[in-house]
This record gives sequence, C-alpha cells and structure tokens, in this order.
Amino acid sequence: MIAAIRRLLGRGGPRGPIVAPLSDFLMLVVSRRRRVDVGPVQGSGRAGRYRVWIQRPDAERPAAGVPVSKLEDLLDELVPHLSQGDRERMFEIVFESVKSNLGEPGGSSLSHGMRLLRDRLHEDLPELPAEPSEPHLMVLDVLAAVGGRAFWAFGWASDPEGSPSRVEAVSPEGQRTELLPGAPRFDREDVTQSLAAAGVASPRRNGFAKYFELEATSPASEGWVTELRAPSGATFRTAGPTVKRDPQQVRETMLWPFTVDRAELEPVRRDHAFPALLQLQEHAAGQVEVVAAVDYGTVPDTPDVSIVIPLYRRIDLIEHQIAQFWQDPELGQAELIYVLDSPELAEQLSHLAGPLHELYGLPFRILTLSRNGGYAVANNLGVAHAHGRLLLLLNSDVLPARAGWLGRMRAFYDATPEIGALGPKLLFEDESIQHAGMYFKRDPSTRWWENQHYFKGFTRSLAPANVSRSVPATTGACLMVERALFEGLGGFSTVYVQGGYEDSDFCLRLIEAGRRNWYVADIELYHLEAQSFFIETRHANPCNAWIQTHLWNEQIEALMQAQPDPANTPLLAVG
Amino acid sequence: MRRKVLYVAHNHPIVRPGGAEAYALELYEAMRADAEFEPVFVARVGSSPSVEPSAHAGAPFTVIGRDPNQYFIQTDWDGIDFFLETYRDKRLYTTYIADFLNTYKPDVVHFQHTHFIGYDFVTLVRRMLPETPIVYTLHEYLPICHRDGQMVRTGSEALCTEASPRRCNECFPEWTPQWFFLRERLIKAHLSNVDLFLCPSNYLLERYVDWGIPREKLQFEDYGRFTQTAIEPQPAERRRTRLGFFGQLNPYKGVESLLDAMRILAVEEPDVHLYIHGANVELLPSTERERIIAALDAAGNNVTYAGAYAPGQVARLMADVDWVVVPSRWWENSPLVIQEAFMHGRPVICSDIGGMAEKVTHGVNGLHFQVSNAAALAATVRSALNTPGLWERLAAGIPTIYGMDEHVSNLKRTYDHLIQQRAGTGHEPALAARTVA
Repeated sequence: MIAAIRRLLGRGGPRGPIVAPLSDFLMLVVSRRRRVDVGPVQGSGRAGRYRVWIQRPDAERPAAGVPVSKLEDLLDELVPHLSQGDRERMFEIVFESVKSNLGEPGGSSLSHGMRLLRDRLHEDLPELPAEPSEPHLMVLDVLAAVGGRAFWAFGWASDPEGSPSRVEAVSPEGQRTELLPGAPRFDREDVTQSLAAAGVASPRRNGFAKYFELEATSPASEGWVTELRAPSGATFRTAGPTVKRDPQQVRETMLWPFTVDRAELEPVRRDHAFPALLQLQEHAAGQVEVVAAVDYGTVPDTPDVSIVIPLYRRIDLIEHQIAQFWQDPELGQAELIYVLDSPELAEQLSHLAGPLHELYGLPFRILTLSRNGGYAVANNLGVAHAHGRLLLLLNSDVLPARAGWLGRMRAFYDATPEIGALGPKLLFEDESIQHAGMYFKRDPSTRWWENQHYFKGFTRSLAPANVSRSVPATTGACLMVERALFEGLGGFSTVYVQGGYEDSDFCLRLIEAGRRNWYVADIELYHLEAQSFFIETRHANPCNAWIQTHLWNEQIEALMQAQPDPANTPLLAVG
Repeated sequence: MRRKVLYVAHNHPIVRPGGAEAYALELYEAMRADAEFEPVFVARVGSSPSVEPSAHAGAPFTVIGRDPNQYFIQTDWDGIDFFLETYRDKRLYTTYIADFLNTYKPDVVHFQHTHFIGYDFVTLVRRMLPETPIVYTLHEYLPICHRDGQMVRTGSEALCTEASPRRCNECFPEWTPQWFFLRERLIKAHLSNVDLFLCPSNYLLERYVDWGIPREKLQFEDYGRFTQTAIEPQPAERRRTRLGFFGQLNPYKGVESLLDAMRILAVEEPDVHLYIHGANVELLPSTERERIIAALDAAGNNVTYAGAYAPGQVARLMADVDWVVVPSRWWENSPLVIQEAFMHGRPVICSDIGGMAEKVTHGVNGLHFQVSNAAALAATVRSALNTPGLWERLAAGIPTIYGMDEHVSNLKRTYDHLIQQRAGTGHEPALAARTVA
C-alpha cells in the first residue's frame, strides 16, 4: 500500500545510477538523474521516471566509482517502483537496443540476460493446469529452429471450435509470435486417442502447425514459454519445449504432414512445412564447408572428366571401387574426388585411403566436410573443387561391369547434340535392371509426381532396355553432365530431404534450359542401391515427391504428355 | 644366376598338417635341387588356433629353422577379414610384403594359397613386378564359396554347383546379397592379375570356368608326388577286409557316414575292420569336434581310431589295409590320399562326385558309392569283398602316379613360357623397387 502510494507520488526507488551487466559485452544502466558513462551508448530511452541506457563497456574506460551489481539485484531494486506500463516500456527499450546483438558472439549470454528481464518485467501468469479434464489444454510438442530467426512449431489445443484460444509463444529474449488463432488446424488422432483414454472428448482440428520468423535471432534453446488466453478471459502461462536444433532431428519433425494424404494438411505443407524445410535446408547447407582436401598421389590438374563421389557412412566401399578402377587407364586420367559427408569417419578414412593409394597407385582426392550436408551439398561442394570439362557424379555403391565405361560415356556425351544429363544402364547385384532411365508418375492417391525407374527389376537383356534413348530424367547414382552446365544451373537443389529427387529436379532444370537427358543402354555398371542407408529407411520420399510436384507440376505434366507411355510404347515389345 | 620362384602357402606343414600344405613344401623341396630356379618359400603363420611362434615387433617375416629360403609370414587372426579374404591393415602389403618383394624380386610368384594373407598380395605383385608372372594353384573353391571353399550348402548340407549373391545369402543370411556381390567382385579384381591358374582336377577347372575365370587362364596340372617304392599287398589267401581312412577329420571328409556304414557292416560283414588315421580334430570348432569325437567313441569293435600320423608314415600305415576309403561329402579337388593309395597299390572306394570320381575310375582302379549314403557305402564294401578277383583286378588297374620330377619340369616350362610372355609388358612400377645392397 505504501509502495503503491509512493509510486503514485513518484517517490521512492533508487535515484542514483545502477549498473549491471546484461551480457558478456553489454551493460544496463538505469538512473533517475545522471547518466553514467561506461562506454559507447548503443541505445537509450525513458521508462516512467527512469532513463535507461545500454552501453558497450570500454575496457580502458571503466565506470569510475560506480559499483556494478548483478542484473538480478538491479531488477530487485527497481521493479517494485515501476508501473506495469513502465516495465513493458523498459523491456521494449532494452530489446530494441540489443536485438541485433542476439545473432552475434555473446548472443547466448545476452539471451540469458533478456530472459531475466522478460520474466521480471512482464506480468506473472498462473501456470496452465496440466489436467486433461481442463478445457483449454494446449501443448506445444515441437519447437524447432530452422534458421537463426525462423522456427517451426507443432502442437495441439483442445479449445472448442468457434471460440478459439489465443496462444502466443514467447522466446527467451521476450520476442512474441502468435500461434493461435492463425495457424492452420488439422485432426491429430494421437491426441484424440490419448485424451479419450483419459475420458476427455477432444474437438476436431485439435492440431496446429506454424512456421514463423522472429524479429531477431533467438540463440537460446531453453526458456520459451507459451501464453494462452482462453475465450473466458482466463490467462495462463506454460513452459515451452526445448528448442530442437539438430538439422536431422528438426527435419524429422516436419515430415509428418507429407506422409498423411488429407486435404486439410495442404496449407500446412505449402505455407508452413515447406517454407520451414526450405529455410532449414538452406541454413544447414550454408553451414557446411570443405575443411580438408587431401590428394593421394598426383591427381590430374587438367582433367577432361572429374568424378565426384560422396561418401556417407560406408567408407569401406572405396576399397571396392578403387580395386575396380585402378587398372582402367581412363580412371587414372580422371580427377577422382571423394567427398566425405560423414566427418566423424575422417580419421578412419585417412587410415584406409593412404594404404589403398599405395597398394593400387590410383590417385584420388578426399574432401572432408565440416558436417553432414546430405547428398546435394556433398555433390555441390565436390563439384566446386572439380576442374574437368565433364562431371561424372557417382555413388560409392556403383561398380563398373568392365573397364572402358568412362571413355564410352564421354564419347556418347560428346556425340549427342543438346544433351543434358547422361545415365548408363545400372544393374542390381543379381544382374537385373536397377536403372534404364527415369520417368515421372503420379502417386495414385496423393497425385504427387514420384520418380520411377524404367524396367526396374527386369532382365538386363530386355529388348526395350537395350535401346539408348532420350528420357525424362536419369539417376544421380551415375550421371554425366558438363561442369559449366551443372554450375550454371546452380548444382543440385538442397531443398530435398535425405538424398532423393535432387537428380530428377536437376534433370527438369536441364530440360527447362533446352537440353535433353539421355539413357545409354550399352554401358553397364552395377548399383547396390541404398547401401549407405542400411539403418534409415527413406521415409522422406513422400515429402520429396510433394516438393517436386510443388515446384514442377506443370512442366512434368507437359513432359509426360509428350513422353510415350512406358506401358504402351512399341519399345515394350519384348524380343 | 638362378631365377627366383616365390612360393606362398597359407600354412606350413610343420605347424599344421594338411594336403595342400604338404604338397606346397614338397614342391619347394623338389625345386631346391633345380639348376635354373631358386625357390623361396613363404608360409603364413599366426595367432590362429594352431601352434604359433611369436613374431618380432615390426617384422611379420621370420626365418624358419636353418633354411635361409624359408619364411613364416605372421598375420593376426583378428586382423583378417574372413569374408572378403583380405587383411584389414593394408600396411601388411604396402610396407612389409612390398619390402620382401623389393628384396627378393622374384622372377615368378607361384601362390599355393592366399588364405589368411589376403588376395591383395596378388595385386601387389602385379603392381610392383609387372614382368613377373603370377601362377596360382587352386586347391579348393575358396574364392567362389564362403563356406570354407567347399561348395556345400549350410543347413541342408546339399552339394552346390553355382554361387550367386542370392544363393550365397541363403547359406549366410547375415551377409546380404550385396555383400556377396562385393566379395566376388573384389576377389575377382585381385585374381584378374593372375597369369595362370593351375587346376589339379578337371572338375575344379570347370567350376572356375563357370565362375567366370577365362578358360585360357586355367590349366590342368595335377599334384606331382615323390614316388615311393610300392609296398606289398596283404597275402592273397586272406579276404580283403581291411579299410583305411587317411586325412583330416573334419565334417566335410565324410567320416561320420563311414562310421554309420561300419555299424551296418558290423552285422552283415563282421570281419570288416576300419582303421582311422585322422588329423586336426583339435582344430575343429567345438560343436563339430564334439560330434566327431562322440561318433568315434560310439563306434564298435570293428573300428580302430589310430590318431594323427606324419607324412612319412603313410606307406607303413597303408601296408596294413586293403582298401582306402575316401567318403568326402564335398567335391574335393585332387585328394592326395588317392595318389598315395595308388602309389601303394591300394584300390580306392570313394564318393561318386567331383575330383574323387575323376581320379578314381569305377570298376577299373576303385569303386564309387553314392555320396553321403552309408547304406550304399556298406553295400559297396560288401560287394567288393564278395566279388572274387575284384581286388586284384582293381589293383592291377591302378595308373602310374604323376611324379614330382615330371611335375617340376612341366612347371619350369610353364614358368619359362610365362616369363617370356610377360617380358616387356612392364611399365615403370608405381611402387618403385629399391635396390637392395
């Protein structure tokens, strides 16, 4: 009571300046009168009777004679003497002054200071009851960083339809974003079922998902809260989840909408999951670089062909390839580049590579990536280190059937006008066809364009598979293309998930650029498809099919209209 | 100066007796007296279940006894990839074996085996010594078959005639078809550097043709043997009731069906007696060892288990038997025991498959019975005993043994021919041979 009267009368509270570190690099200074100079001022403002400065302390000009408190103590002293409006104003001043520092070094300590400020300067809300019987139960299951400022949120709220709750997510630094209403809604059977098990009926469209961008970077993973305002006016706060940041884990959380064939999920996919994926993949790709390039032997510096081979997990496969390559003189003349996309295996690989080079004498280069970048990134970075006129993008689980294959591919490429990508016949280990060119086919239920291989599983001697011809696309497992063309088109797109569809996407871009893609039938290699994926299954494929359709629907439609139907073409006359 | 021929074997008979090992050393010893070729013998030894001499640090090669041209090469059991038949630490090849090849610079390398060492040795020779011919004697089907090179299927124990990634995966579900593909391709890549494969049986030669080795690279060449004076047959007035088994006591050798046959014969022909001279039972995996020991224990009074024997004892031991039984339930190649039986005038009763059926002509110098069929074996023994004059007729039909002298002169011709063929094919070797003072 007395404090309230004092506040009303503008009396009480600290007068002289109080100074506390807001982060490793920034000081918060609050004073009713004089300014204290501890370094260059980064921002300032007035909150009620107090002036607030954010200063960057200068080691050579210490705050002479001014004691430095802990931020907690500063707030203890100050907060009781501020009105709610002043508190919010003060938070605003600080946030506006420091938001650009959040993405810089020291961002984490700043985020920690901002979280203290947020919690002390904002209204204290009661915790959201965790009882399933409560009507306004809301859970944010996933909060995932897909870039410095961009996030993906996935959760559910059992608010009754027609009277939606308002839900805001608040970052540790106090940045706010509205989740509900506004996020697309859909049914989540898992939630409905678990609530039903607790005897609570759940409304339809309980799930929500949202992609959002904050004003500034949010580096802290802990400290998110959600604030829920029920239609009744009741307001609650609840702790948010820890932010997921590992790109692979984050990706996993975004794939679900692509695996469920329901129309209500299309806005989730189109307006939220896809932009989030795009951000994530671009952000992740940007963080990958070549950290080591080691030449074993003298790798030709003016090669005609550069062979780029990403290595993921199965580094043992290089022994099998080199044992097949070394006696083929064309491979000795090529620039052979392995790109290690499993950097944790770098030491093991170098133990393997040196002696393998000594034993076989074949020169090759190993590029080590700073982190796992995926198939597209590994190829793009490999190509960035390639010098050949032609590229041969090759998987580590592809082995030639016999020597001479590379020269024959090159001859075919050079003899074919307007050629884009060239792919040979690939065989499984049992000699059946793995690849004889690719085409597009809509999934009968989702209508998304999927990649199909012509004659997959059929005998290698099948007559129509033994005709070299123009095809819609060829596999990236063994793909020849001019380097200038590859680079001119920006290389493989990094938006696809977990290796898949980069090749068809690239082939579509080649067609758009006026080229044709070719299958050459009389050059054979073996492809032990997906040997490096011995644990993971490729459940990202529906997602990739959706992205391909989203980006290329009309072009593929036109392409496949013009393409002879593989089921009805005279090519299929087996003979 | 004598040209050097390097022999590489997977075992030394002084450490572990076995047919291929014994032959390899005999060939080395025969070549030692030769005026044109100086042989060097390298046998693998290691931390295997066998007796092992300890290696010196940093020196996988160690001398054997007082012979300056005989070496052990030690490889560590745990370092061997038994699926791909390669040594995981490639420095074995690029540092140590390379040093050995640099030092000796053999004019011919004749592999008796690369088991426990790795096929990479073959590639290394080709890389370092482009003009040196590589000869490889095939003793069984190990490059083709992961089942100890026996071409007998796991589970059913049926005979197998064709390897493929799918079929091999059926035998070893823990290895995917893709792995079997990689195995075959890697082994073939190494073996493509061999100039000539020597096949002691035509049956084996055809299996390798089926597997994809070019026929022109495969040559029939049986094992040559030091001939010994034939021992006397047992007195003619006695019935020919004594059977002998000589060889390793592993399950592929068929000793179990032979013991079953002896149970049948105990009733039908109580005079028949079997002497088992078997070695290496201690090297078997424990379950197989126990099974064979149990079968031997359960045998009746018509079986005598005489244990292991030294190569020099064979003549004396064969003198005590009338027939030599070779009941193997794998294809075999050119069993040395058949040569030994013939050398000593003993007709052979053998399984009707593979190298055995090729070396023993039914009704001429021995008798065939249906493989793995104990009743058929018992019936064959009965009719052998009860057909008057059969033993004498078969003994008279025994062919002359391919002698070591003839074998050596054929090999020398082969080496000469290959040396000429390779001359001039060499380019500057990438692993430069250093001159050793």
